[in-house]
This record gives sequence, C-alpha cells and structure tokens, in this order.
Amino acid sequence: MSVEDGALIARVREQGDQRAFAELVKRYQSQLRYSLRQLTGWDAALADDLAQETLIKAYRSIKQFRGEAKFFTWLYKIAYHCFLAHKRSRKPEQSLEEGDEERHGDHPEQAGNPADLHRDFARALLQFPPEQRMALHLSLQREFTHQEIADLMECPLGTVKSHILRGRERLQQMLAGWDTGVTT
Amino acid sequence: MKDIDNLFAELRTSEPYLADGGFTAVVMAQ
Repeated sequence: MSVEDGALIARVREQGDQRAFAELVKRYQSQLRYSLRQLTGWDAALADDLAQETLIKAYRSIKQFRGEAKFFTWLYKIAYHCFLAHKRSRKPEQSLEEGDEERHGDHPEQAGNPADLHRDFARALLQFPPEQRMALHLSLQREFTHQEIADLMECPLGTVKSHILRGRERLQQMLAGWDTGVTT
Repeated sequence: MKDIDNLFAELRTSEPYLADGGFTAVVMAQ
C-alpha cells in the first residue's frame, strides 16, 4: 500500500527524511518532466534540467507548503516559476528536439503514433507566449479548472479564460492536419 | 481532421510514462 503524499511530506518537513522526498520525486517525476517537455517544445534535456531545479527548490522550501493545495499543484507552481525564469534569461527557444526517444510503457499498443502527437502538440505550444502555453497545458492536458490555473499562475481568472479560449481556437487550426502528420 | 476534443483526449490518454532512468538519484544527489 502506498503512503499518502501528506505522510511523506510530513516526514520531509519534520525529520528531513530524504527517502520520503525521493518517494515523492519518483511518484511525480514522469508527469512533471512530461509537462516541462510540453512547455519547452519537447526539449528533453532542458525539461529535465527544469524539473530538477523545481524539485530541489521544492525540497528546500517544503516547510512553506501548507497543504492548502495538492502537492502536485504546488510543485507545478514552482515549475512554472522556474520555466518563466529560464525564459527571461535565455535566448529564444529552438524548435522541437529531434530524435529524442521517450518510453511509452503504459501505452505501447496505441493506434497511430502518439509520440508524434505529443511532439507536434509541444511544437504548436511554442507559438504561444509562456503564460498562455502554461494555461493551455494545464487546462487541456492536466484538466485543471480555470480557477486552479489562475491561482497557480497568480493571474486574473479572466486572463486565464481568454488564454484558453483563444489558444484553443488557434490550436484547432494549427493541429487541423495532425491525422495526416501535417501541422501548420 | 480529428475533432479537437478527441485530439486532446488522445493526448491525455496516450501520455508516455517517462522512466526514471536515474533522474531521482540525480535530484537527491543535489
């Protein structure tokens, strides 16, 4: 039986238990790294660097986690700030990384090639500003509510709704040819 | 053209599991 996040977090907070934190990392590393790949145009190396930075910051500031949100949501908030800081400090992003080989152990029998869809979606997201990219990812892929996204990104609810509504329409155009492998 | 909602649903259901591959060890080493 797996230990609840809250119990693991308590062990980290109260005892500095690194094994408990390692368990949390193992629990969420795939989703976090995947999300950061989506935000970085599927740049696996950059995404992993940002994920590491996120988790190290989470460990160092875990006493600030008050349990008002899910641990996963709190982690995403840190990841968003790491992502924004990177965007502000670096050169413009490059296009999609080619040749990266991720594993599809949970869905090896999907029809078509889901890997291409994930990469194409990440490439499409590159066309949006970072804030809108994050809002679209959290809404369309992580199914966060608009209010959850507004809280996480610390921006007005109306802005989030606008980001998602307009972004959705544009994505529909950009991904219209996906089933033929063509994105615009 | 696929319906955009179906496409998003496919994105969610086919999300790859990224094997740890030493990632946790790297984080914990820091």
